[in-house]
Amino acid sequence: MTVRPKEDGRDAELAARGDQAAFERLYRLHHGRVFSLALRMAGAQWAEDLTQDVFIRAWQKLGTFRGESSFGTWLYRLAVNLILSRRETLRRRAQREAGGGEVLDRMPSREKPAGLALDCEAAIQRLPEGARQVFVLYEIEGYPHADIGRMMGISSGTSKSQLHRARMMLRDYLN
Amino acid sequence: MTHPESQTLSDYLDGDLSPLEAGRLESHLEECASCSDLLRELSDVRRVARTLPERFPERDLWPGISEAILGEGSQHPKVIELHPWRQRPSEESGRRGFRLSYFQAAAAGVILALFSGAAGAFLHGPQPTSVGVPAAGPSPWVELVSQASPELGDAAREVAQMEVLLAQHSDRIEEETVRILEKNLGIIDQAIRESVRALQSDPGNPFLEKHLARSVESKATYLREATAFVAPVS
Repeated sequence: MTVRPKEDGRDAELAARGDQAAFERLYRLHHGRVFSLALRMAGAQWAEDLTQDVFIRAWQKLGTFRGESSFGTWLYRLAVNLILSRRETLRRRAQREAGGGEVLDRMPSREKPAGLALDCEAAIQRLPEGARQVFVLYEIEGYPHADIGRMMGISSGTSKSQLHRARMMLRDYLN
Repeated sequence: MTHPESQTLSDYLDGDLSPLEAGRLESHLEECASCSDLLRELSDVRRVARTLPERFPERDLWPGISEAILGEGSQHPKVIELHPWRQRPSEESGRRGFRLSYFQAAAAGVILALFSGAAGAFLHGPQPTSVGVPAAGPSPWVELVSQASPELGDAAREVAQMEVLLAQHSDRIEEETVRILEKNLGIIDQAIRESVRALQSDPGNPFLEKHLARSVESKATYLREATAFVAPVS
């Protein structure tokens, strides 16, 4: 992914003043990563809705973006928090729709990764919720355990355990 | 050295072991093929995960986002200063202070036109703008939305109540303001109509319900702010 902090910052300033065109540029630049995060954290069934909600929330909160980090960093943190805050709601809805089944969805996206990456994507979706979310936040998004613990309301030790559990399960899936 | 816990291999992979612990483990790995294999497999998982390609939605999500944020401010907002005595003491208006864009203020007039028509007319397209007091009795729009998504009943009734309040103070809204923004509000109203129609065909569809709820909430937000603008605090 191409990150352009300077352009981001300028567009974020414009968007905060109500410039929707600037905000659309930010959306075009970042929506892939936000969608990927939502897809891997919550499943394909909710990924589009969550992506939309993230950008709507970002628009509403642009006034709180101070430029101390890049817009992308700010946006992804907001995205993680929003997705995590919806866990219980999505879990209930998925259980209701699946008649009590597990919160999983296997719908493929149009742009499918090939080979091992596809296997890994599918395997990630099969992980238990907590292990999946820690794995995505640590391995793919690059958050340290301390941050993950704060965001998920768990200890760093639990985060490490969930990460290891996810790795072991993925190792079994992929071998 | 006995076989380490597999968690220790993960910790080693992440650089979380002390130099002493790491040294002991490395010595063990030199002699233990099964632990070496496990470490390599965990490392492979990490490598694959870190090189996963970005994914993209199947459809362009921007139109839905643009629609939803329309009420949050236009590209070049023109702001009307509100006098404090006109401000309703609601939580929402308190957060936003005493400012309202033309866009939001115009909602008052437009919504009267959009919401005060008959149910059939609502479902079949936008009505000509006309500011007037809605007929007494339950709004057909409220009934349609409530039937399409019962959870929205309270929101729809709140909207109906604010419609009446706005109608009572409609002389405070300038016609030009209404004209400028009628086009934008029409987009949202079209979304409401389509959601209602779709839910009539596919009741309980969660996506459609959410879409309808979001659109109704946008309308409700406009109405709250518009009533704060046109209606004096009682």
